[in-house]
Amino acid sequence: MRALFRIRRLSHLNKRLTFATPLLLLLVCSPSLFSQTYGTDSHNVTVSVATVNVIQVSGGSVNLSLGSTAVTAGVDLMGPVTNTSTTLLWGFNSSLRKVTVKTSLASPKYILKVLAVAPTAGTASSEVTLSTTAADFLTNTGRSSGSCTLQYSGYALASKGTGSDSHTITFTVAAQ
Amino acid sequence: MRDDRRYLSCWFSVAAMIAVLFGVFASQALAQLTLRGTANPTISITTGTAGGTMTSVVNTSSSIRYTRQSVITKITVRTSCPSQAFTLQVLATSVTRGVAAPAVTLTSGMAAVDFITNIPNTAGWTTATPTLQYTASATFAQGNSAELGNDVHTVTYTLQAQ
Repeated sequence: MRALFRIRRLSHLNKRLTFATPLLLLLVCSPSLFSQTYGTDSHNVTVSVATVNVIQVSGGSVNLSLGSTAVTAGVDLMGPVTNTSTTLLWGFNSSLRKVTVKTSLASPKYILKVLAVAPTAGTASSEVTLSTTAADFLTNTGRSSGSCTLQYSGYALASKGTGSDSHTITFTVAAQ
Repeated sequence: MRDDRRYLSCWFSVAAMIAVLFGVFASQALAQLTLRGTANPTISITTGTAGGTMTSVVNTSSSIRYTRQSVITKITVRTSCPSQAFTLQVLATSVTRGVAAPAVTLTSGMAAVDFITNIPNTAGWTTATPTLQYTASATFAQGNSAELGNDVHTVTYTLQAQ
């Protein structure tokens, strides 16, 4: 090393350059030149989604009237008359859900049936004769948002005479 | 011999200066961009519309502070979220220095994308602190946290030369 320094001493200019080199390095090592990144920071952002299973009937009340046009001479069973003015809407973000249906009327005088028509997701059950026991109406919906038309069909036995039934129909989301 | 000592002494003192200055610059670099407000925000989606969509939720509880540099700079954003199930976007609002990019959809493993660009290096300002507006959204089909777990994003912002 001493030999190297002795060689450098031979040149005054070389000596100056030797002392200047670290200073040049110092200047070059400015952060803006050394790296183009000036700062960084991070945080955690958590997204949570609650279990949401909502269902809604739109279209209001339904009235079915069995009149003389629903009668066939010599046949006791009158009807059906149908109504498709209402819609069932749903949104499920849980897997394996179904919709059941039941009526509030324990002893109806006449017969009322309901069918899910053209569901956008899931599988419609066959037409359900309404009772106070919940029956499957729409199955295999999975995680979805969709709708179907509610087709109500009313029947009556002529032998039951005149009158009216008032139903409150309840659709329920249930685990399948 | 005397010159040798002087030469070595010079190198040692300059090396020490470099070390000190690197330490100073490093600490300054860390302070050039900081996240403020709620340290780790949580966004909860709790409602949805039958036949429609889940209701998006916006969170503006945090902000980002950055400092003027000697060159024009920009801020980029990226995220890491293993097993991401839901959607998260971020937008800089109330940006007084620089230009906010349109809302960025944060996708796990994404490359860093521009968040605020054209941050000026001209005198007249020192720091700016825009708001971070996070928007969380989900579809019914994307499921829920009880079955899938929460999405935990590690969102990283970087201030760099443009």
